[in-house]
Amino acid sequence: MFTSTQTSESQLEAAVRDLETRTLANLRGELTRLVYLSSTRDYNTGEYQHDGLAHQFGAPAAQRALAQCHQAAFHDLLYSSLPALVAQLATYVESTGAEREKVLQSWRQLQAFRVLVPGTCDDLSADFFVSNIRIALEVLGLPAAQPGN
Amino acid sequence: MMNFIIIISISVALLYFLWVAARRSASDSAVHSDHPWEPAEYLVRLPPRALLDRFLSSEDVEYAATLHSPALLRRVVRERRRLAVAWLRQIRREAGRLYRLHLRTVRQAEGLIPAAEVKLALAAGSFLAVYVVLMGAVRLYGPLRTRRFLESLQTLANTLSNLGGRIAESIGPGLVPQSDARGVS
Repeated sequence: MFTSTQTSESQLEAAVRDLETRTLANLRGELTRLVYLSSTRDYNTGEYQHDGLAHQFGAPAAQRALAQCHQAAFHDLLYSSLPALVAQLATYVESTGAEREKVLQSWRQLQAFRVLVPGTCDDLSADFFVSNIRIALEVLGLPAAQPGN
Repeated sequence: MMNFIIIISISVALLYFLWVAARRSASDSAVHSDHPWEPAEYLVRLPPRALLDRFLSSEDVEYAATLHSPALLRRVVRERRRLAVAWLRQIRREAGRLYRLHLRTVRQAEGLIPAAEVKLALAAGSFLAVYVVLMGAVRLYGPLRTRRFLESLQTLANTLSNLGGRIAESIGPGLVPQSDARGVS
């Protein structure tokens, strides 16, 4: 267990590798990973928390590893094409196990996707991401996009 | 006697101008010591070029067209145009800020190179011209959205980005920390 408040690059790399192989690899789709990573962030302080990772690599390394992976997942989705994003959203909705229409309706109303944006993201990129997710929700809500059609 | 009065007048006038000049330089240095330039001012925040490419992606519009929903297609085009306009405004604001910062900096510089200043002024002028053309063209995006039109916009955007980069370099190449081109920093 690490107690130092300083994070070395090797510690950070090891924490990122651990997070990727043990946790993120088991999640289906980039959007699912993004949802998971943003859920590890405390919405009051903006700090990431992961007990297992902090115990193994120290809190600062865990914090930085989670932030780095969050930014990488966000970046991948930000620069992916609209059809790819729609596919990612469909995979995520399916992975929740909940009723598809219910999930789509909840995302539209509560706009939970806004919390997926990393704190370091610039306004224009955040705006683009939110706009794309809204469009993807609309695409999945089209009759032609319903499963079985 | 007349000559004496003229000499005295010229001396008084010279003394007055010297006093005015001394006062101006003192007030200038007071202003600069009261408001030292923040290092953050030198941070270049030009929006990532790749972001505009995504806004003007022909693949996304073609995909939206295949969904047979005119409302959705209109929404995609409207959103992308809004974002492209926001990108253009942001790059113009940032290039303008950098140019003004450069002018403020060179006012105190000793080793001023006139040729470099002319080059930079030309880059700033070209930047404005390309900006106006691009802004007009982006506003046409919607009724006009062929792949070729989008490619022309991207070529213009590339020119604009390069000119913005040239202005950014003028404020201190190598010393300027760039904001992350990935949209997250």
